[in-house]
Amino acid sequence: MILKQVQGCRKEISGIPIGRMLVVDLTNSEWHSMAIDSETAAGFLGGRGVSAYLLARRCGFENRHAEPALFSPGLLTGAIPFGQTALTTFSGSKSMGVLSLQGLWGGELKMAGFDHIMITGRSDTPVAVKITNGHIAIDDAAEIWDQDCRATGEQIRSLEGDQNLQTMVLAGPGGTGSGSMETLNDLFTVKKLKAISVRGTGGLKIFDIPGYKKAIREALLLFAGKHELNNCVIKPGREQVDITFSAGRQIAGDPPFSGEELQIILDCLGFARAPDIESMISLIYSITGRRYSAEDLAGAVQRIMLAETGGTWE
Amino acid sequence: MGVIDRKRKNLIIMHELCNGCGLCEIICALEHEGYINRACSRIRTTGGLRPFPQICLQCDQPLCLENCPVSAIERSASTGLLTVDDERCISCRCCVITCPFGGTREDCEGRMVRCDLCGGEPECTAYCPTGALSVSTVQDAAGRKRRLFASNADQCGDWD
Repeated sequence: MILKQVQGCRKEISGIPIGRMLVVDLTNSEWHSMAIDSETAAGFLGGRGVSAYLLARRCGFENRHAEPALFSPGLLTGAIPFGQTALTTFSGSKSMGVLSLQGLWGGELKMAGFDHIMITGRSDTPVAVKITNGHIAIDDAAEIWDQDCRATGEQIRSLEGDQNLQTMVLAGPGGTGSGSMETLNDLFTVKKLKAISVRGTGGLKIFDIPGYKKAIREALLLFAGKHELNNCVIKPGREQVDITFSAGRQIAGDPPFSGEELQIILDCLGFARAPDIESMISLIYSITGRRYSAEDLAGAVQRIMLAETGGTWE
Repeated sequence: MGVIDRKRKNLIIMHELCNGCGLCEIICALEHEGYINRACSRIRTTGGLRPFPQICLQCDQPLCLENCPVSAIERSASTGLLTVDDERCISCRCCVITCPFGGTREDCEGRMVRCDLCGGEPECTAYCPTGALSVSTVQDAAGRKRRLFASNADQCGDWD
């Protein structure tokens, strides 16, 4: 069985792609957790990949009108800086697409014991979801419904008395969504979900610490501008690190990846940058203990692309 | 006023160079705890668009030491660094409250932790991608800041 209902969050925190998904049903104010087979999760890498699989196979929800929104930290999220969280949403018969969200929220979610959160249904009143080490609460959010993102986050952390709480604010002030269900703000305004806050005190274990440090050092050369990635040099400094991928450019590797394929890989891995595929593979191995080959990555990309476009795969 | 040790080295943070990547927090937690959890790091970066790493500044006249009710904080005779005796500490958090810089923190397990320079060779300095972290005396650090300011006078951060 690939997906099964389980109790609570992962007891052992690790960075490997064991998929523990929390499903929150806003309609009935209920939640439960489900475990995804680790081989399946590994075959789809993580993050965007696993969420594509879950949505394609309608795992965790059956009702077409459940409007699932999946938050999926990548394989390496939390273990490296700039780790990203993929947000994939499906509304009715239309996929609203994939977003990459930066920040510490994804890593905190993994430390809280979950690798994915699926939000389904709609609440009658404004609510905010809070996850603390496997304890879930759906709180009334009427007080913060009209606040902007920054004020919302600050107030939630102040109310909880925990500045380490990571908050993702989803609906604009006063539910400013247009109702047309064209944007994420629309979706979460309709769901009346203001924010998801996470606090995890578990730790992310690294499989091979010396190897991890070595791989991080190599990646740092990229940050320091000593590598050129697709002819774009990373400029360190107080400014946001600026990197763009040119469509069609390829990273040296066997097999080479197109810009679109590389972006899929990076969305799955939660790691935006690596000087080359070998460095990326070394970093994944050092953290997870799983050694992917370039062919494994290529296979995963193909499965993910099929899942996202409604195709089937072996 | 006590004797000021001008030759003592400390972890120097060039805030102008910090880009808030957080790798120092990851490495610090990994070094001290054996796993990654930024909340357990001895160096913490606050602020969003203007990241500001903070550590124990190893004050010459530490308020935390003066105010500790059980004398759990002491200065090492060999390294000159401030340390916390976990056996003696009662987690009253006086050190956290009295520190004007937020240099002492309570970690995930309720221990009062602070940067101890990893005993003299801070791990974080080897991984900072921008060179914002280094070990030197305060005088050397001040000289470096002066040279940085002189060479980039119009790019030395926003002072508003």
